[in-house]
Amino acid sequence: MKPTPTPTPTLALALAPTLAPTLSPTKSLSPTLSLSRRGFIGAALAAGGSVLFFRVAGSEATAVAPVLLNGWIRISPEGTVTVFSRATELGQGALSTLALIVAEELDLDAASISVEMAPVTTEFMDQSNVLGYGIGAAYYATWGSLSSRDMDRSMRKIAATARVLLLKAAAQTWTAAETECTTADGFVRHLNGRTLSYAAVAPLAATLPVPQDIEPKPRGAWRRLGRAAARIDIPAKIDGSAVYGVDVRLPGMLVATIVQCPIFGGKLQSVDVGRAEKVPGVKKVMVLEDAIAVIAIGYWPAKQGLERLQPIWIAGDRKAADSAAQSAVLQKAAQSPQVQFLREGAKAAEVLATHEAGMASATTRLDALYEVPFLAHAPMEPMNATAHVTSRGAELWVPTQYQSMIREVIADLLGLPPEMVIVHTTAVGGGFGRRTEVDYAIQAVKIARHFEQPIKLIWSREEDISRGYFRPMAVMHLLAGLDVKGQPTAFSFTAACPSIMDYSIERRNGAPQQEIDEAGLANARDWPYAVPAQKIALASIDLGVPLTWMRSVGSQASVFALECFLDEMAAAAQADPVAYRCELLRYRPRELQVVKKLASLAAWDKPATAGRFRGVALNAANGSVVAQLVELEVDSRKQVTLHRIFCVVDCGVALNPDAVIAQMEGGIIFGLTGALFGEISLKDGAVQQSNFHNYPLLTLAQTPKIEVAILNSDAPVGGVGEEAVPPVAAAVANAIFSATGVRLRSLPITRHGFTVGARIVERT
Amino acid sequence: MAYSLNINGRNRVVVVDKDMPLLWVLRDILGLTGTKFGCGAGLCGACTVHIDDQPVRACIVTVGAVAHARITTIEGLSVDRSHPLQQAWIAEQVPQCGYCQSGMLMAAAALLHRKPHPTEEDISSTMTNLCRCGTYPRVMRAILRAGGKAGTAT
Repeated sequence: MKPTPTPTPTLALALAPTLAPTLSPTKSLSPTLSLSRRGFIGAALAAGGSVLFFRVAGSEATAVAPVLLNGWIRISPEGTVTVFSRATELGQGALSTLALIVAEELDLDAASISVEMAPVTTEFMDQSNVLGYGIGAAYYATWGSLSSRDMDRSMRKIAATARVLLLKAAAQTWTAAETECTTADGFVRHLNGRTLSYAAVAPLAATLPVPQDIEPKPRGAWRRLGRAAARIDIPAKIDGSAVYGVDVRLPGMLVATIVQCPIFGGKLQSVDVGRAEKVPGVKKVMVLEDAIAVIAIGYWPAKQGLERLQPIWIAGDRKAADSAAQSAVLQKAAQSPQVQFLREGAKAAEVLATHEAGMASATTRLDALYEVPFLAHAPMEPMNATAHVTSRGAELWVPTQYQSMIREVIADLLGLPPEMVIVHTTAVGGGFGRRTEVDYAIQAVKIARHFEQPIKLIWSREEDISRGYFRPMAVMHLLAGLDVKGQPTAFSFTAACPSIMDYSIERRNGAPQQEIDEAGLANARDWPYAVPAQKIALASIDLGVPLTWMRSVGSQASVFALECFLDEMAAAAQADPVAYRCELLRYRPRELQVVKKLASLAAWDKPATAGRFRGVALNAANGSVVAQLVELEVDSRKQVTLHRIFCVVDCGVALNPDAVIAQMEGGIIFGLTGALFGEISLKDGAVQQSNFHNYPLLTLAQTPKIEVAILNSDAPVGGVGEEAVPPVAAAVANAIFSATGVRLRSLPITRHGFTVGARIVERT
Repeated sequence: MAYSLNINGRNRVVVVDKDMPLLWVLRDILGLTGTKFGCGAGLCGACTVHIDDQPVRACIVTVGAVAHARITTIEGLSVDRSHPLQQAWIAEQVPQCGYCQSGMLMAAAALLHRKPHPTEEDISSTMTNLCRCGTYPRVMRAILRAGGKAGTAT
């Protein structure tokens, strides 16, 4: 599917007005940044539409544009429509989808829409500021496959209401009936042929009372949404002009880098800072609580200084130890009867009795332990933040997924009202959940408060991979009873894993500590398969390792275990894995349709190419259903070659189908990296991996051909950023079972002596 | 030490230590931030530039080693995104987060310079740059397209 080309607009975007900041920054504009910013905006324009990730200090335009609907939409006298986003562009295409949504509801060409990040202020975190629609919680963050879902509910309503206001304003101007007026291509048109541009009627529209009951267009009336559209953030990403966090340059800025205690829970015993301070260009060495920062005129001298520190760290009394010991603790817990029952609305005793009766009636009993290790997110842009702390407040430039938390935490740290903390969102070089934590921003401010100049803190890749936060290690114990026909009579899923909530910054937001972090159960909570007498349980065990959300969170572990175990059940029932799934999905029409579509797409009813073997898996989460089929071969030396992956997604409706396909491709590859290679292991409380040589990512040569089919349904818009990640590990393991008879119950597969080969090899 | 570097067709004088990696000369001294820092160890390719038309990972090449060479960065690939690879990158909607894409494009440009019509095999064996977002299928298609073999990905 190819994106529709859009015409080049002729708008003067540099003049697009924005909100005046509540705290006026005083720094002058860096010439370097000014140039790159102009280039950036120009770059974005050439492709149609535009995107401005952040505005540098001093660049605020002064022209006043009519503000519609609490500031979310502005229309300039030149006709530029500026829409604010609270979702961050992480590469998922969120800002482009927002432009499409607004274009659709405003009857406007997407090319004349400029998207800017909303200021990180209370008004743009306020639920009441999105007409009561949308997820609209009191935060400013990007996670949970929520961007499109949030926009579909809130911004579509806001744009639809803006269109009605513009139409009403034109009708009033003409003293005509609203029913005699229509909108198209940025104009209001009267049936007698008169027209007024949106820009002309916007000042009046901005003064009208806001109707609360405007319905967005029905899907059948869409002209722009639902068709492949070019992403507006891409042009600046192909010529080096997009300004990521690491690229921020400010006048007088210094660069810091950091080494943190490699032992979780450990501390600094001693360090001689003298040798580092002698490195030319080094300005200062600072000891933070469990870290040492070197501040210099650039990254290279800072890194040179850091390497001369030779600090001595000592272990603390926390629990982080060796991975083998951690694994043993979780394995024991997952098989212990002493776990807390969580099945909602059911009493533990009843659940247990029903389950045991079901198991007692079984003729076959399956019992398996599944395990996944800690994983590092390793986005390609290392952690970084730029901070400038002055008597007037703090200003930060951060590639982040969680702007409101940065504002809140930094205000607390500096004892300032939140209004005195300005957070700019830069372009973001990958998030995957790691940038929902704000540790690097806190560090940058802790350093910057001791300097007059702005400080850009950049972590090395080694710090990024070895210091967390990580996806949790997890062990899952699965049990099933089957009757004589192979049909399930009872099922149990017990997860043992540490709680993300014990470590994530999110705990600040009042997430109650006593409440169990159910991420460890994930898909087991609403397993779509018709399996009776289910017992679902969780043992939450701290391992002393910092944790946070990773793309699809607990679904990575739970779907691996659940979908492999379902294959074990099918094998025990001597049933075809697809037919077995379809039988058990008989009450879940969406999931059933997706699996059936996958089977037809991949010609499941025909034998695989000679030497190749197939495995399937399903994930239903965040309002979407994704099923995948992996086709691979395994040679006599246990080298795996991935040939093809078929993927079917029902995300309700695909707002930008090409972006949905890109998320399926990317999710599959992210999941493959974890399934094939991903492992963070600990020895004596320290991580053993440090860079891409021992924490490898899937390469282009190893990447299978990926074919994605979108199955639109009448369900609400579902998530697509995370949902393709979980099933691929199970589909790979199921295909390897099919190829070798070996049932892999722990990841990564390279732990079991397999290697991964290139799909396309040079013919000799 | 003072070096006169030929970067994107212009001579630029920098006064730096001879052991400073080219990456940090480009980024911190010259402000050419399109070349990215990804791993600092020559493993990911985000910092790929051309030295006399050859792809080189700028984080592990010292400025002293390239003082007399022709250096091309992403900023010099074209002045207006008109390089066939940049156009193919738009057509195939390649980037996601975009952070690795400067390096991907420079590695691909070096391949096209050496072999104007690369096959899938050529691309598979040459493109070792890492991408965490998973843009590889589109990178493959875009290079085939730029080499005049659009639609031939298997």
